[in-house]
Amino acid sequence: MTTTTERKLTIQKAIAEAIGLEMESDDSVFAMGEDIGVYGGIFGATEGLLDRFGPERIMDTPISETGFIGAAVGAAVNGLRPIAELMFVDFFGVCMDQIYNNMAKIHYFSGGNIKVPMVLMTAAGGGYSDAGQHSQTLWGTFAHLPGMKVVVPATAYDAKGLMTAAIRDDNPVLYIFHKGVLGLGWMTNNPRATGPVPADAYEVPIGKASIARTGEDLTIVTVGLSVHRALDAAETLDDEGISAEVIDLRSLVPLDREGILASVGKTGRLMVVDEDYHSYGMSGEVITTVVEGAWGALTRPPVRVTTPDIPIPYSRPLEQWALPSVDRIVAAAEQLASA
Amino acid sequence: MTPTDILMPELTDQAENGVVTAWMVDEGGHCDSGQLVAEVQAIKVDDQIYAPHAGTVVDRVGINVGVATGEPICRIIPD
Amino acid sequence: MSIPNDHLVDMYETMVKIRRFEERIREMYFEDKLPAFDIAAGLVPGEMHLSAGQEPVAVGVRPHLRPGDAITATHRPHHIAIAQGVDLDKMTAEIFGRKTGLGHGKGGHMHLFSAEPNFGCSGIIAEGIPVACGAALAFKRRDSGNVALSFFGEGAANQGAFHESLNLAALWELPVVFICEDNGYAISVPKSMSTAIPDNSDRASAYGIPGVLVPNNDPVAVYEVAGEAIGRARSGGGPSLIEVKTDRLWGHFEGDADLYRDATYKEAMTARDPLTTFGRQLVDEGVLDEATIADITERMHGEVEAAIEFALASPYPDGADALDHVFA
Repeated sequence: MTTTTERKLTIQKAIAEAIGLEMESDDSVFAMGEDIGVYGGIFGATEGLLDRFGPERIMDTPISETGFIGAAVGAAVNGLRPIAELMFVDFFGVCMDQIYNNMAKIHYFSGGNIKVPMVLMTAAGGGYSDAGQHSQTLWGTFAHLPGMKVVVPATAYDAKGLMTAAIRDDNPVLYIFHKGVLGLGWMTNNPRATGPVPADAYEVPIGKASIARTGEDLTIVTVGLSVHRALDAAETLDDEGISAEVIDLRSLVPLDREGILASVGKTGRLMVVDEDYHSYGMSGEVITTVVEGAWGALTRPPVRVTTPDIPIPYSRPLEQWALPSVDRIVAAAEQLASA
Repeated sequence: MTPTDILMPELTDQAENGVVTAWMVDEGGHCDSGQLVAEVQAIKVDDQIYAPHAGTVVDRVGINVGVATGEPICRIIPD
Repeated sequence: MSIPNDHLVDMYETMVKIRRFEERIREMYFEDKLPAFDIAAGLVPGEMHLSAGQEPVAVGVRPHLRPGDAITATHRPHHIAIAQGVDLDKMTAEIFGRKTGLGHGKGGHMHLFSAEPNFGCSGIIAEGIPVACGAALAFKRRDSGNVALSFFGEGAANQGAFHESLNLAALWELPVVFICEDNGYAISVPKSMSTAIPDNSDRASAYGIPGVLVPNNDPVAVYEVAGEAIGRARSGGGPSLIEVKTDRLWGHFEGDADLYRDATYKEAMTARDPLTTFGRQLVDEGVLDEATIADITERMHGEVEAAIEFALASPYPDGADALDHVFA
């Protein structure tokens, strides 16, 4: 369906639109979570859906994550397609058993006989002073554990397409959206949070990275809000004569290793920007992928711009120092590109 | 048909101003009737602005700039 | 009332101080955040959960506390911290993200930690409840005569940690008092939609411990019930659960449009504002008069203002300070 209209949505609206379309076309799809009903989700992921679908399919839950996420697993095993919202990814601690030991393993334990077609969606990310228990990204933790797909959209187009794909996928999919780029009116405005989104339903493939910006001199691999930090940095670098290619991973599981290798094969220089903690995570995984698969192509040791291994601090100067910033990306790229 | 001024709605009685937090159509871009064109907000009460008819969206105010209730945020020139 | 007058006056003073603190924090929170509400902007960035209306639960407990007693609280901690006597200057500086804050700016408003008095709070629902059990365990082991108090909301009573903690406390006969502040809403979800029974105090019997409901937001009722529960714990009689029906006068967080509670409900809350009703009650009973109230107001407002001035005059930490204090 084409029109002469270029239609834009914020990432938040794109997510809600995807869920609404799938709920219309498949009545086994329903959502559970805290404040997803009248409130429309604390981050607007289910905005407007209670009025359209009613409280049986948009279910406000008590603060009982183990209970309702475990129930989502059970519902998925028994013919429904639940979308469970974990309000902040930081809250996974109270319900992780149901996620990593149950949701992620039932299909395997059953030798493929039983499927768990559920989406666990959650808000992640810092930069607005919400402190150590409300600002984490934690995708490395989930990506490390086998049995669940992990997607992190960075654009409105991808947000809708990946949510649609996640709902239609017969596997458990952890859908992580970054609060800093949802386009919420009460967050610092980010113009990149709004983008063109087709009105009808479509999928973005899970497991494929996208090239957010082509370049020749170095490859920046990243995900989430950091994609936009990298794009901002790339504009500055352009003025300095450094051409940066930005790879938006979009999925962490499956990880598009071929896409990463193809880019580094071209540029020979790798930077990973990861808002998750420095050690034992996504940045290490991407670098190792390149070391294993494109060692000969590398002309410099890889570098990473990450959040250090500290709880994310509250005070603004502390937090802004710790999180990957445009300045840090530019500085690292200048080092990487220098002769 | 004359162009239509799209006005900042009254969002809350606690504020006389609102802001546009996101434009869903570019300056000079085309919108269909009923299309979402902007999101507005005042002290965290937000609302969606839909186009009353199809046309070209012009004279959009800036993002996060205070606009008094009842003042225009943009104009739509009908097709 | 058989409550000593000086306790009543102290409770009222503390309520005035708490309310003034919350009002001033609210004013400063919105500075530089408008016209577009930007949560990251201004003097107090991030989330802010204020306790206006819930003062009775904190001040009713206060006169029964002894040095060394431990309190764990939640993302809505200010009234409890002030009632326990946490250093107001350092607490305010922490909320403002300054180097002189309780946590040198690392914790912020939801993660206020003080060793003396023994206070901690958390942004994760129900996280503090088992911690209070642990404090109680330490006090029992050391025979210190101290008690632990765990404050949480009615939403937390549906989280697993609540149930595990009550069972543990009962099993090990721990000197802990569980205090549920039922303000009727978990963000936007009313209690009727989250909890299968009307009163969490009735859940106590499932764990074999005493459970008492304080059905209105009355500091004197809290004082009496808390006094009994704390006394029981201190004398080796084990844990108790108290539920207080209180009022959250403002939104869940500052900036919450609070559209899920209608005008009638909010007007009713304002009409029964505990600060107003308790003040009036004390005047009626001759404990206070207009002059003393004016004096209390002036002094308490002055203390709050001094704490804010201390915070505003304090430096911010340097960015690289973020690396300190991960490990001892």
